[in-house]
Amino acid sequence: MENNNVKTIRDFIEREKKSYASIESTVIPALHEAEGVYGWISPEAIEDISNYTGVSKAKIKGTATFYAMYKNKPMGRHLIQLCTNVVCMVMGSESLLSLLNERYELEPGGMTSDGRFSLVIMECIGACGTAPAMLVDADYYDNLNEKNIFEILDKYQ
Amino acid sequence: MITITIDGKKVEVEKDTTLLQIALAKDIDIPHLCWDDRIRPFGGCRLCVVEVEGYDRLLSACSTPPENGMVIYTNSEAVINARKAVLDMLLIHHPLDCPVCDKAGNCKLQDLAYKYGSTESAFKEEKKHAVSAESPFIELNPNRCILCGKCVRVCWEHQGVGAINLIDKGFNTKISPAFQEVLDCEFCGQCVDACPVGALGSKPFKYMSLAWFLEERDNICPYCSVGCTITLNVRERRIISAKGVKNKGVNNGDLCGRGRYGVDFVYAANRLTTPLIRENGMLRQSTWDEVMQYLSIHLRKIIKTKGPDSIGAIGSPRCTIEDNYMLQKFMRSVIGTNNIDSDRFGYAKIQQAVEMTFGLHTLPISLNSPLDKDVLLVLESDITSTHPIWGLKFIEAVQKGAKLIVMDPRETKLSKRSSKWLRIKPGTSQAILNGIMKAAIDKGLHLKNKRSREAGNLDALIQLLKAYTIQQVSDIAEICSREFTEVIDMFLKGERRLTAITIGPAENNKGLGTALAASNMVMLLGDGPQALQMPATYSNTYGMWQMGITPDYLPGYEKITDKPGKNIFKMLYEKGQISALFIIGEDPLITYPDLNKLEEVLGSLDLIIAQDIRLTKTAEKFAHIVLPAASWAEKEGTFINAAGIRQKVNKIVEPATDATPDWKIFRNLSRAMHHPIGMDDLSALKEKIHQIKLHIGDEKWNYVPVPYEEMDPPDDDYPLLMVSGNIMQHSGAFSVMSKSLSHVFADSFVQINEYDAEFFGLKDGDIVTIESKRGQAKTKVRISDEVSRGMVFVPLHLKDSRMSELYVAYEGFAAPIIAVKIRK
Ligand code: SF4
Ligand code: SF4
Ligand code: SF4
Ligand code: FES
Repeated sequence: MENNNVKTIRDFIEREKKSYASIESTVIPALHEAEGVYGWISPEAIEDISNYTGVSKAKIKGTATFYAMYKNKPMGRHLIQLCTNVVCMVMGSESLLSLLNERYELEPGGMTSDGRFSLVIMECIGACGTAPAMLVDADYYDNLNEKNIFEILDKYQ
Repeated sequence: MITITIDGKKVEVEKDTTLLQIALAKDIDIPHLCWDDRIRPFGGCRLCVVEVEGYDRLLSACSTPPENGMVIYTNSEAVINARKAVLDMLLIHHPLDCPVCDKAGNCKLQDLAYKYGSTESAFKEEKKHAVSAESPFIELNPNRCILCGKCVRVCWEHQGVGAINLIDKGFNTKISPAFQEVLDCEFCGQCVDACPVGALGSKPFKYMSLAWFLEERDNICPYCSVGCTITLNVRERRIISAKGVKNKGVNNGDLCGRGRYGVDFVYAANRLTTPLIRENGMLRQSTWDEVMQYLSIHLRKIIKTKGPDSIGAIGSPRCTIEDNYMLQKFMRSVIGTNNIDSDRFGYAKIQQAVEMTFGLHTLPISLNSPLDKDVLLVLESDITSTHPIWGLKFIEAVQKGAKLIVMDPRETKLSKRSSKWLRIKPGTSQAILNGIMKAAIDKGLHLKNKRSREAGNLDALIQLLKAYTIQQVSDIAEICSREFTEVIDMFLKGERRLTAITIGPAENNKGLGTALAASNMVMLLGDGPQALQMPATYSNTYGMWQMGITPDYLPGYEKITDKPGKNIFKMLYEKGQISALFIIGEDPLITYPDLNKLEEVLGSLDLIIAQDIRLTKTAEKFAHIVLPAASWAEKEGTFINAAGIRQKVNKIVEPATDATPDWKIFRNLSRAMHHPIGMDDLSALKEKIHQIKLHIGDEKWNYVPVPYEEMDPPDDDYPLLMVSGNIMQHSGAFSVMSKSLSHVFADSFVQINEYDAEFFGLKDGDIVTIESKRGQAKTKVRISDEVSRGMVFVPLHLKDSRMSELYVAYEGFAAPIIAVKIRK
C-alpha cells in the first residue's frame, strides 16, 4: 500500500543509484530527498530509504545524526536560522533570541507549539558588515532589530 | 614478498596485509580496540599507533599496509606516550563502575589502563548518562561505550544485520538501535563478543559471575551441523555463559544466538532424573535395576513370540556417534533386526538423491565453499536460520564480489543481501532447476566434461526438460520471464558456480525431487557434486548416518543388500508393522507429521521405550518405560559436522542425578539381557568406531529426471500454501527447553502477507485455526511482508502447537507443502 511519499523516495533511489559505485552511497542524497518529502528525517523516511537501499535503519539513522544539517527532529513550517557568532552577538542577536522566546516560546533547537517556526543557531554566514543576520527558510535578512524582525516573521505564517 | 623492519628485526611479509596483522603474527603486542579481522579496518580508536621512519606522525597499524623497506617501532617512547594520551581520553567519559560490570576481568580497557598506569583521566568532564535501549538478550550500557564502532561493523559487515549504530555525534553519541527504545534483532550476540569493554552484555548472563571466577571449557555446539566451538564459562561445575573465541573451531569465534544463548537447556526444569515406569496408566519413578529387568524380560518375550523384526528403534541426530553406534549395535546384534531409522523427513532425501545421482553414499559440504565462487544460487533455503554461521560465508562472498541469487517466496537475510531475488511460488525450486538446465541446453552450455556426457539416462533427462522452457517455468513459479532469463544468464555466466539447498525435517518446501533436480543440474553443467552444497541438519545428523542409523546401511555406509529393515514410514505410520519401539532423543508427537495417524500407531504398540534427557510429549503420553539420558554437556563423545569433520564433545558438568550416557544404557541393557556386546568402556567403543571402514561409494553419475509436481495443490477450499521451517532462534527439541531462547518466540505463530490478511479479515495477534485436509491447529497471526501472497509460513517445533497434525508423512518426490485455510 504505497503512498506518494514512498513512491517519490523509491523513484529517487532507483534513479540515483546508477550514479554511485555502491548502494550505500545513495543514502546521503536519499536523506536529502526524504527530508524534503517528510519535512524532517522521520522514522518513515528512514524506513523508506532502508527498504529501497537495503541499508539497515540503524546505519541510516547513524548517518543522519552524524551530519548536523539534516533535520533530525520534526521541523516547523518555517525554519529560522539566526547567527550568534561574535559580530552578530555584539550587534544584538542575543536579545533577539530572548524576544523570540518571549513572543513564541521558541528555544534554539525547538519548535513553536503551533508548528509554525523552528529555530536553530547558525554559524557565521559572512554578513558581519550588516549584522545581526538570519535566514528564514531560504530567504536572507540582515540589519535585524527588535522591531523589524517581527515584521519579517509576520510574512511567514 | 617485501621486507620491513619491526623493532629492529627484519621480516619478510606479504604485501596484502596490515602492520597490525604482521605484528600480531610475530607475537608483538600492539594494543588495539577497534580492529577485528572479520571487518574492514576502521582506524578509529588510535591505540594501535606505531612510529614509522620517514613519517612525522604516528600511523595506525591496523589500517596501514606494509611498504618495502619500512622501519617500524611499536614500543618507542612516542608510541607509549600516544597510547597513554588516547587512554586518558577514553577514560574521560568511561564510568569507573568495574565492580558491577560483568566484563571486569575480561575487559581490554581495564587491562590497558592497568598496563599503562592510568585509572582515571587527567581531564575532568561529565560522565555520560545516556538512556539505553531494551532487548531480551542484549544488555546495552551506552555509558561504558568507548565508541570504537566494532560492534556496529561486526553487526553490519559481518553479520549482515546492521541493527545498531553510533547514533548522534560528539558527547551525545551513543550505541543504539535506530529508534531508541528496543533492540529487536536476531540476537546472535556477536556484538557482545566484539565489544572490548562492558558496553554490551548478554542479559541471560547478567550478574551471574565475575570473570575472575570462571573457568573456560570448550565444547561443540549441540544445535546445527556447522559444529561451532563454543567456549563455556563454568563456575563450580555449572555452565554460566557461553562465548565464541577467535581462532577457535570451524567457526573461528563466530556464534549464532542458539549456540550462545541456548546451552541452558541442560538445566531445563523438565530434565529426567530417574527412570520411569508406567503403572496403572501413570508414569512413576523407578530405578535402573527395575527398568533393566523389566526390559530384559519383555524384550525377550517379544523376540520369542513375535520375532526380532517386531521391534524397532529411532536414533537421534543430537546424540553422539558413540551413542548411535551402540544403539544400532544393540538392535542389530542383541535384538537381531535392521529396523533402525531416524527422522526421515529431512536429510534422508539428500542422502537418497546423492546416491541415486552421483553414486555416492555421502556428500559432505565444505564450510568455505561459498568463498571462492563467483555466483551462488540459493533455492528456498533460509541458510542463515538453519546453519547461521555457514550462512555468514554467503554474506562474506557477496562482500568479496560474488553474485548471490536467491529464489524464495520468503524474505530472508540472504535475500536482502542478494544480487537478485525472485519470489517464486512455494515449492517450485525443482521447476526452476529444470528451467535452468533447459536454458543451458538451449545455449549449448551443458555437457561440459566427459562425466556429464557419459552419465546414464541423459536422453530421458533431455526429453523431460523439453517441457521446462523459460515461459513454462515462469508460469509455474509465478515469476516474470524476463527476470528469470536475467537470473539464468547471471548463473550460467558464472565460472565458479555454487548451488545450495537445505532440507531439514522442519522444512517442507523442498522434496526429494528438488535434491534430484539440483544434482542433475550440477552434473549436466559439468560442475559436479562439489558445486552442490546440501548440508546435514543437526549437530550430529551427519554422524548418525555414518553410524548406520538407517534400515539399509551398516556403520560406514555399508549397504545392506540382503535384508534391510523397516523405515519410519512403515514403523510409525502403518499399524501392525512392529510391536515395540525404542525412541532415542526424539519427540515424534511434536516433530513428526501426520499426528493423528502417528498417535494411532503409537497407541497400538505393546512396548514403547523413550530414552531422552527430558520427559517428552511422546513419553508422557505413550511410553511404558522412560530412561533418563545424560545431556550433551554431561558426557564425552564425538559429533560429525556437515563437512564430515569429527569433533570431540566434552563432559563439562556432572549428569543430572541418574542420567546416563545413551551408549552406556545400551551396554547395560545388553548385559541385562545376557548378550554383552563388548565395548565396555568409552575408549573401547571409540576404538571400534575408529576401525569402521568408510564406503563412500564409487562416484558414477546418473541423471534422474523427475517432473515437477505439487503434492497438495491449493484450491478454493484450501487456498493457501503452508510452508514450514525454522526460525533463527529455534530449531526444535533443545531450543524449546532453553529458558533464554524461549524468551523470544516461545509460542507458535503463522506469518501471513498483509493482502491475504485483509482478504481473510485477519488482524495481527488474532488467534486462528489453520486447517488442512488432515487436521487443524490453533495459532496466532503475525502479519508480515516477509511472506508473499498465497502462502503462510509457520515455524515448526515451537511449543504448544499441534501443527504437525496438518502435515502428511510423505515418501514421494514433490515438496510436501500443504494447502490450508485459515479462519478465526
Ligand atoms: S545481537 Fe547480533 S544482530 Fe543484534 S545487534 Fe548484536 S550483532 Fe547485531
Ligand atoms: S558498544 Fe562496545 S564495541 Fe560497540 S562501539 Fe561501544 S565500546 Fe565499541
Ligand atoms: S551456527 Fe550452528 S553450530 Fe554454530 S553456534 Fe549456531 S547453531 Fe551452533
Ligand atoms: S585498532 Fe587501529 S585504530 Fe583502533
